Amino acid sequence: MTGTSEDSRRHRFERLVGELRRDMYRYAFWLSRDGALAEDVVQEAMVRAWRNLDSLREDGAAKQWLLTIVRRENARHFERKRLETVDVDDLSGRDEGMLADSHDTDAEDLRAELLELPDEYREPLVLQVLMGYTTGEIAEVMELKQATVLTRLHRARNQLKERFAADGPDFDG
Amino acid sequence: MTMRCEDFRQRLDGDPGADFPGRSAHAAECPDCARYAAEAAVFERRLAAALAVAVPDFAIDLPEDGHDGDGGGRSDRVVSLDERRRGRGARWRGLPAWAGVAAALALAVTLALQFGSGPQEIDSSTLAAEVIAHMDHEPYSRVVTDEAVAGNELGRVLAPAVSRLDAGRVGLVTYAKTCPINGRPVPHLVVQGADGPVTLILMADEKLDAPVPLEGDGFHGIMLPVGDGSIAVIGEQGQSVDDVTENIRNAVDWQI
Repeated sequence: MTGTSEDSRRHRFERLVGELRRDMYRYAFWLSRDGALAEDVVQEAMVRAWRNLDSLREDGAAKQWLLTIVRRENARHFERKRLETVDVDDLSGRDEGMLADSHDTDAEDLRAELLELPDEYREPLVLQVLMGYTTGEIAEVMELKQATVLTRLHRARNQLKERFAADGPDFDG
Repeated sequence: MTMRCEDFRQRLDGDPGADFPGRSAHAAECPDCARYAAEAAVFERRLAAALAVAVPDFAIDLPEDGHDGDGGGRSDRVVSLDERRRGRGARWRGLPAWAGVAAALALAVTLALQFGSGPQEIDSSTLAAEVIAHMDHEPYSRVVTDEAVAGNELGRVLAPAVSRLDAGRVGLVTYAKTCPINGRPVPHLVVQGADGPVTLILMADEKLDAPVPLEGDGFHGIMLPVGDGSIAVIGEQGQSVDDVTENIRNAVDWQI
């Protein structure tokens, strides 16, 4: 590879990842529920993305491409490490600084419920609410049928509402 | 009845933002489902708030060792995370050992300022950096909407800092919350400007000698001196905030 094309490749990568690294981190955080681990996963995802940049044909598809890499990197990490079950209270305490607006008690209560939500329900919710994905796009990332995604989203919200209503305030705005 | 209530609610819970066929018609003729939809909208805002994550300022560093170019990844090159941690100094370019310590220290200082410590005397550039960093905390606030914040909620947020807000000048306030800036609780508003949602941070105790431009990752704006305090006006890159900046100058009186 010539110096110029290497520079061009590097510039392309920095532009794409520069725009999307925040989304990568946020997604990794909610997948792993651990700020330090999310940072590791994102760094490793960046290495993998850099090595495979040439497989990304269209820059417009970069977000989904990068988030898929983050998802796989997170799964690889958990497969390798087979982490012990982590206590949710311990997690939310450890990462308090990473979670925005800790003065909002409603958000904190709901966040605690989110951390307890099964992974298969939490992940589509994060992709939809935080990443702005359509149910079709979520289905593609998670390799599920769209109907399955809709069902999981419906159940996720129902569980959160039930738990939050039991523990927290009324939804009166 | 255009659709069954169960179907309406299931579709809504699956994708609250979707304009699925029959949604409006059913809501119009079923008050219970209309209320369910309104409560769902409130829940979505709370959900977005709960999911908001502050992103640490970690660097993007490219590996020195080239790329596969095979499009499929090569698992035989993947080493364990522990190995990567041990070898990170060799794998990542331009990261001397002290940089990690400095980054951790900077993050600790930022978090302490944001969540723990009391107010401090800080210079305008540090204040500007904190204001811009705060933009990452509440991305869900910057939405195009014609739904105004309830008057009592806006009053509650403003009361500790602001004695008068000229609603006619400011325009439609669609978000209001008390947030920590430099260890002080300050009103954080979003108004609907001519070119989209504009964030206002009203800092009654942060006096400035002159306007300070704000530039961040995807954001731009200005901190204006207003009396003994200052107001940050922030929009997304490429978005004009001139109309809001012009109007806000004389629209606020601070509490004495």
